[in-house]
This record gives sequence, structure tokens and C-alpha cells, in this order.
Amino acid sequence: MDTLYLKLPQKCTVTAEKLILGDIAEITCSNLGIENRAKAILLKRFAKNKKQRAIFSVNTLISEIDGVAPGVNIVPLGEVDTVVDYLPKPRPKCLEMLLVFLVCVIAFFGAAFTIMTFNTDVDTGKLFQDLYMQLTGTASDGFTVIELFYSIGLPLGILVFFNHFSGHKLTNDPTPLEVQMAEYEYTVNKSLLAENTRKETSAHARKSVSGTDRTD
Amino acid sequence: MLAKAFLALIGLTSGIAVSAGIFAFIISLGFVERMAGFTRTAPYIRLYETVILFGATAGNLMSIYHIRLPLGRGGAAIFGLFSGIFTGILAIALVEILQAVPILLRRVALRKGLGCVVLSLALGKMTGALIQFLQGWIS
Repeated sequence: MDTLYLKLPQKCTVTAEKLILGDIAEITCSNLGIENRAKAILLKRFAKNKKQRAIFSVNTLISEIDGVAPGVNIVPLGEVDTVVDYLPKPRPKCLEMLLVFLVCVIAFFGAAFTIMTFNTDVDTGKLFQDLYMQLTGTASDGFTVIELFYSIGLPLGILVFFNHFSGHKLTNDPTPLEVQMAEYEYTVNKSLLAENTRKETSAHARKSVSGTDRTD
Repeated sequence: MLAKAFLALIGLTSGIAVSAGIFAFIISLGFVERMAGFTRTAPYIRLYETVILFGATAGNLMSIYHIRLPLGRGGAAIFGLFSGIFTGILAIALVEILQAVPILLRRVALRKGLGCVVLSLALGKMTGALIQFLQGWIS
């Protein structure tokens, strides 16, 4: 008997209107004929030029494969549910640039604001003047070595913490932000799937071969 | 001279410690990945890091050295708007990290109207800020 391995990703993005199984899943089978037939299974036709999202359960996919290759032994690997995003056309570059610019502006002023509120809150200036007086015995004019090196140390700390230096990583590890981004995407997917399960149970486990539609 | 060197050491190390602490706080609240996720611009994460670096450096120089930057009311408005957006995002992120809203919704068994709750949170914050500032403007 032939064995077919079906590996689902957590999430994928497609641009083709016709969604076939080979677009989303990794399929390996000892029998090439079955493998090709399984890959060509038409899962769904997306409505043209509209951003959509479909969620497929591995059970749906197994019964689909069973339909074209009866009796094949299917071994599911990876995720049990997969989120498929249909993006008919890529976003215009200028819109993307605008969004990036907007986030940059917020991040810039936000970071500036954060450090200023901190400096004001703990009264860094006064603290430094006192320290200067205590250590040197002369009054500080507010422009001494301590302020200078504090201002050098601050960006240095961010550089080390973010593990990057204008595009060049200091080490091979992903930066904390990249790690957070991956975690965030994982959590978003999990909640999409949870929401989907909730809907399905409330509709008394309505069996749908074409997956559950969601329009953004 | 020794005292100066010691002061420089204190300045440098406290700068590093403060920045690491503050930015660990910003990151653990998830500001950047929220914004990147929302705008679908995850590939630009590095750029956002760089911008935070420059923003913090500029803000620190401004507040430590009291540098004059004559940009007028327009400049002040821009700073206010964007730092306000940033603080709003951080404040809501803090609420979310503490799981205040999900726990509350579960306790009162609320299934719908999450949008209203979020809107009320935003309006409440705005009202609070306005009350605080109006007091300053009047007196």
C-alpha cells in the first residue's frame, strides 16, 4: 500500500485564483501518480480580485485526497489547521512606503517621548549635577562628561540590545524584535484558528469541503 | 581627572542600562510588531529598530542639553500627535498584556460588543487627558 505524507504550513499566502492542494501543502508519496493527483486537487475558487481568507482542516484535506486516491495511507505532518490568505494583487509600492514612513514617524517620536519622560520623571539632569558636585567639588554647568557619556551610552545600549548596527547584525541571533514578530504572527494565527473553531461549533460542526470563508 | 573619568564611566554605564531597560519595556509591550503586523510591513522591522535608536538619541539630547529647536507650533503639534499615538498604543498594549479586557469580558460573559469596549477605552483615555490638560489651561 502507498503512503502519502501531508505536511501543512501554519499559514500561507496565495495569488492564484484557483487554489490547489499543491499550493498550500507539501505532499510526498511513494507513488508519483498519486502524488501528482493529490497536488492537483482543486480546493477552492476565490472570488476574483477580493482579499479573502480560507481555513482548512487537515480532516477536510484527507477526505479530499481519499476521493482521488482511495485506500492510500495518509500520514498528516505539521499543523492540523492551515490559514490561506488570498491576495489577488500585491499592494502598490507607494502605499507600502507610506505605511512604513508612518510607523517610522510614530516610532521616532514615541522613542524620543519615552526617553524624555524618563529623564524628566527621575530628573536625570539634577541627579547628574549633584553627582558632578559630589565627585569633583565644582558646580556643574549641565554640559559635563557625565551628560556626554550618558548620551553616548544610551544609543550604545539600544544597539547592543537590538543586536544590530545599520543592517549588520552584531551576532547571528535574530534581534529581539524579529523574535517578537515571529511570536506575534504565531499568536495571531492561533487566534484566527480559535475563532474559526468557535464559529464551526456554534454552527453544529457544519461540514464544508470548501473551507470556511472569511472576507477581510 | 580621576573624578572626571569616573563620572564618564557612570554616565556611559547608566546610559546603557537605562536604554536597555526602557527599550526592553517598549518591546515587551509589543509596540513594533503590533504596528508591523497591522500595516503588514514585517520586512521593515530593522528599519523600525534604527528609527527607535535615532528617536531615543534625539529625544535624550533634547531633554539632557535643553537644545533649542525653533520649529514653532507646527513642530510642537507634530510631536504631540505622534507621541500621543505612541502612548495610546503603549497604554492599550499594557491593558492587553495584563489581560484586563479578556478577563473582564469572561467574568461578565460578554460575547459581543468588543468593538464598543475598545472604543470606550479610547474615548475614556481621551476624556481623561482632556480633563487634565483643561485644568492646566484654565488655571
